[in-house]
Amino acid sequence: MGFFSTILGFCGFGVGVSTGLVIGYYLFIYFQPSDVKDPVIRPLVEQDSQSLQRLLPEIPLWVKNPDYDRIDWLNKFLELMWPYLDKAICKTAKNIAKPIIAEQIPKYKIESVEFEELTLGSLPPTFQGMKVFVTEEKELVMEPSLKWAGNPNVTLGVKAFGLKATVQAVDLQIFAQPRITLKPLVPSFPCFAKIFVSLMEKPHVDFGLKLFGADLMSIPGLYIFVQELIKDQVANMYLWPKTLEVEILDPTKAMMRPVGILHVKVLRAMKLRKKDLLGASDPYVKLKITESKAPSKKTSVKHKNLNPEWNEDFSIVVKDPESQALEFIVYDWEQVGKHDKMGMNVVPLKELTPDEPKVMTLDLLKNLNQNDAQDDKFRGQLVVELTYKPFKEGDMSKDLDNPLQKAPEGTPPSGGVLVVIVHEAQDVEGKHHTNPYVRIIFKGEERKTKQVKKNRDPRWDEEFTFVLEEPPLKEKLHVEVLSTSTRIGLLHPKETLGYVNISLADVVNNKRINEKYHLIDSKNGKVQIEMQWLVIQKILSHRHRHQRLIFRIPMAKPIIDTEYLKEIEKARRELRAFISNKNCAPIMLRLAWHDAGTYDVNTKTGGPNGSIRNEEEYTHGANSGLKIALDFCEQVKSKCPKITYADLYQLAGVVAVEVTGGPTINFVPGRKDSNASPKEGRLPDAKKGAPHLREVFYRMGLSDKDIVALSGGHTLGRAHPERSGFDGPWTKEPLKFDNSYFVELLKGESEGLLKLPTDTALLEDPEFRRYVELYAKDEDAFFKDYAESHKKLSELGFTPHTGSKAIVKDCTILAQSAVGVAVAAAVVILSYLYEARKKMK
Amino acid sequence: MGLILGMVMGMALGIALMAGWRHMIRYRSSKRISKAVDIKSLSSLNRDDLKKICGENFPEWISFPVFEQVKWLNKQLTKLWPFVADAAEAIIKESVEPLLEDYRPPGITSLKFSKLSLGTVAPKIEGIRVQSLKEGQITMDIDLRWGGDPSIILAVEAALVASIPIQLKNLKVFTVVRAIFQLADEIPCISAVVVALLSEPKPRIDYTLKAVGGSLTAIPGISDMIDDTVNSIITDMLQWPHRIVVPIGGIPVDTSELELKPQGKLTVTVVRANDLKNKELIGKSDPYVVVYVGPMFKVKTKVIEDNLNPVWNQTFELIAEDKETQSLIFEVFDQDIGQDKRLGIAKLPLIELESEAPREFELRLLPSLDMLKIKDKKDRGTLTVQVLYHEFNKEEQLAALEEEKRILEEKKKLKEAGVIGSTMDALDGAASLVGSGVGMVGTGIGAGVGLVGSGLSKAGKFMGRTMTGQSTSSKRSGTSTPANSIQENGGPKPL
Repeated sequence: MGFFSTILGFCGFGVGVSTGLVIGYYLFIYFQPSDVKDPVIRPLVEQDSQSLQRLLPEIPLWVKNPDYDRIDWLNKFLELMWPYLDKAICKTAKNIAKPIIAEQIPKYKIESVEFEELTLGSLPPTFQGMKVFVTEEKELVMEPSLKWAGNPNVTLGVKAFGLKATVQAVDLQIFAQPRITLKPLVPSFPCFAKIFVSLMEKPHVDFGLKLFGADLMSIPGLYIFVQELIKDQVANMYLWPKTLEVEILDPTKAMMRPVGILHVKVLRAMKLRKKDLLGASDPYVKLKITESKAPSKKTSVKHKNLNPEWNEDFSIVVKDPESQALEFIVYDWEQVGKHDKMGMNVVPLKELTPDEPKVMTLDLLKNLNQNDAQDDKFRGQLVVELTYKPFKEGDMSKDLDNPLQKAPEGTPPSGGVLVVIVHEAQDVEGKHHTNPYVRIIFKGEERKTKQVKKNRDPRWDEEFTFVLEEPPLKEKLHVEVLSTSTRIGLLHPKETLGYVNISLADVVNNKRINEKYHLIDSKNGKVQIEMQWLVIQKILSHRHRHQRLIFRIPMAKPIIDTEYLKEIEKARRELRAFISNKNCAPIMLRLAWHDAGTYDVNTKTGGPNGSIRNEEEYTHGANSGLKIALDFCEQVKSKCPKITYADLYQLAGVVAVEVTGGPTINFVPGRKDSNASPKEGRLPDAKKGAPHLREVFYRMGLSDKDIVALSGGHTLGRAHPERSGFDGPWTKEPLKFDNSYFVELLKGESEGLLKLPTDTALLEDPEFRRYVELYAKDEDAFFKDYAESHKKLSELGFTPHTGSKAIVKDCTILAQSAVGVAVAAAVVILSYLYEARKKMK
Repeated sequence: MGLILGMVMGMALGIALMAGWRHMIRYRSSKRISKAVDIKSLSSLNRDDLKKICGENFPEWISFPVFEQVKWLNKQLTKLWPFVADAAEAIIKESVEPLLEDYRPPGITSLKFSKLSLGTVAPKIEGIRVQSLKEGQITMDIDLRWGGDPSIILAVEAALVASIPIQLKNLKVFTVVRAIFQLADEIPCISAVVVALLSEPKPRIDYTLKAVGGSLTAIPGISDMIDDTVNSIITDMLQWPHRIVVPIGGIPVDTSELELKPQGKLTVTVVRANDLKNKELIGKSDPYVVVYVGPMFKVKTKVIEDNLNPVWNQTFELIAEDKETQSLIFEVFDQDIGQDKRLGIAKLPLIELESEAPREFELRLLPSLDMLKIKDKKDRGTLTVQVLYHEFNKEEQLAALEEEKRILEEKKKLKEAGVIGSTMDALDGAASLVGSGVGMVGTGIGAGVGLVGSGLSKAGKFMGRTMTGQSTSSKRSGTSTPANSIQENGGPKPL
């Protein structure tokens, strides 16, 4: 009896608990209002001491630390702008989240997920102080203390299995200390090219998540767990030294770096108008490129000649061929007095085709004013030959990526090059005059900068190089700031404003030092000197590059807009014409495969990233001969400069298959170029068998089917003894893409056709053989599978942009969409849990 | 029995669990909300708040000026300045040159920059103030100070004289820049920015003019003309209520609301003046009055010769753009050979006027509007005027806008023909053959000392004269110093 009653008791307890929970839920939670109220904010002065006590840990940093600045004006600005920002952000977030949700929900059998409410609330984010760091580098570093304790209300309605659930996220609080670095600084607005954001500490995150009106985050323990999870996730992505990089300007363009060289040959002039009263004029030509501070160049003077022949060559550095123009001015040389202008003309550089010499005959004008009435006079003609040679893209990007340039060729192997850059000086003052210039003396060699007139804070930015036989471990560099005046009758025409001796051992050890040195014999004077020690040592530059890659999350995928897609189409046409012209489909396919085949799914390195263009990689044994294909691609790249190398190589592979009669492979652009070449030995070795093949392809994350299908690519081309050590083609028609590779493979040995050990391995392994037989029989099946596998291969480690083509540049939008996705994911998980619970019941 | 007991116990437990959970929900929610409130209130503290929080340990380094200090921004600006200067030079050249052309005084055929470099000293932001004066707008005032070392060389070409390079030295700018952000519902949430210099405190732009390898006296009145040009550009283009509207972010918005539009018409009758000062050596002054709201549109009465109590009774119509801040300026001049002397100036703020109610004012004439530096408090007489303000309705406003455009076009045409100048007093100044009054004396001394100095330095062909110009006072007392360190001008040496 007792036993029975106990059982009953337990049953009753069970029923009771569930009924109790339901009653309690309705009683305490369901009928509670779930809307978010705007909190009442009372002025601080009216608050009691207890609430002030609570306030103390949150005191802004600018109150506590003098090195933080108050930016309440920015808070006010944000507060006023917040209602507008709220609307705009919510709208964008909704628009972004919608396609993502639409894409995801069918997988989880959810009928619909939609925002019932989405506002960010009335409380704006606040900045509780701002600190800036001043370094000698060309960068701005600041650290705002950001606190957002908002009252947003994000309510999602989820419908699944005929049931509707609402999930509500409220009271989001994020406290973070981001470090924002703006660099490199460039001389065009907004004056910086990239923004780097990283978090200095793990951020504090708190929020309430209500499911059916009950806050899950208040279940003891769950909140801490979730918070840690989020913190770790964010920390994984953005905790310093990991950074989020946002590109604002293209640094190459913004820096106004030289992009090419203009070779000018001034040939001759004809029928110049006489300017001198006695005899003929003495003409010479002055060349100047617009928008440049470089001094103009002059030809020699041809005396008493109105049809002079110069035939003189000049090279001029070009920074922007789109807007720059070359100015020719013909002058009449005079012994005394001002040289008369005989005429001029201008050639805009965009009229020139790169790498193509162009001979131009220019009519000389009085000036460039078209409407000038006096201008109809004939002033003669000038004949010039112009050739614009743009630098190769590769040279430039390397240059940019690596602030330490390689030592130039001809540097002694044991020694190196010492580069001294004199940046600026501060507070230098002479007793009699302050026209400072810098003299640097190193081992008796003396170099001088230009003089800056009447300036206490001069800026030179001049670079000097010393080529040395051995590292200057014991040497010192003498830097002296001097001032001279040409004023006559002055007792002190030259005076020293200060000097400093810098020991170079540190430079050799650190490779680069950029510092402000206090001047001796000067009141407060300082001089900023940057020194670099460059050696011929591949390992060094490699290691350096590698570090940078680890430190930074690459973000700069090419922006896939209509323009880029157009460029892709153009490249496709170019490649098609090129490949069918040169019959180079096999090597193009090989290039695509060798660039992509280095992928490692575990470390997420290698893959189709264009790294094969680096000398380091294309000189790998497995890649011998590919330089030819790289050079081919370079020709296409020069016509379609926007395309990334990674995209170009994969496109070349796709086109090669297509052109030779193979399947059409879906090509999705957007791969990012990388400079990091993987170690040698990632590509399969032709001499090994099935286990090796599996090892290599599994490492890439590919399957057995992929192995066989991709091996079918051997239907194109032949092996070359000087490249792989093997000789001969695999099929009778090495320029036709079909399933004959498998047919030949099954036939066994045949005259003049090649079978590599890796090929025969396909026959020996039963799993592989299944596919070989299928493909030999059914070409369509092969084409279908090949197209799939090739696509997979060409997209290793690359996630194409999906959905909307809108380019999300704005950080806030990204953050918002992240929140949106997180919420959507949470909904999905929770609804699953709910379902599971329901089923268990 | 067991069943019921179990059920009751279970129910009690279930309800208790739910109650506990709700308690937790409430507790955490209220904690979060109170934190949010704290953070919010800490984002805009004032002195009293901080005193209350910190009590006795109030940090001494903190102060609360009206314009909040932005040391961090200045630090960044210093660092960024070389790059900003580089980037800005091209833009300034492009945008200011056409302006110079528009405001170019007659007698000068071309006014261009031959060198423009902004120097190495970055401007300093003394403070920033953010206000909301109007719904949907944020007003940001930036107190800007720049005592830089820019090198600006103007190539001035006059009708008769060859091109003279004139250097603007010791440029100093003190002004409060007002930026108004018009808010919008789309990212980036700002649809337009209105930029202007606040008229109160009046923007101060000081500079020294210096001819490179030549003399300023080569073109009579050149420095006045340049001062006048600079002054007009600033008051006419930048100084509140004049403004520059910059649309932002590709949101198509109607910025016409933000643009400055004619707001009303002023009918001004200059009746008479009493007890004017006599500035002539022989006889009495020959006074006339110049009336304007902005220097772009000036009107002038006829000259009444030899009279210290002239009666003009002339009526003019002027356009007002912003009744709140603009003023009518009356300047009384004495017509003279050479440069006309100012007998006095008076200001009538438009805010004192009521629409459609004609009023008569008796204005006291002052030596200058900027009373900070001028000692002279002598009575300069009074000016009697009648003013009627008429506020435009929509159609009239449009008509007035058209009219304004037409007049500007006409002026431009006339200027191209070389008939009139943008400012009337510059016209007379340019026409004069010799430097006038004080100016002439100054030139004389300058030339004299310049000759002595140049004799010493064996550079007798150089002669320089520096003049300090201030845009706040349109005429200055001609302080002139010889420049005997010509070699350092870097100018070409005529041989």
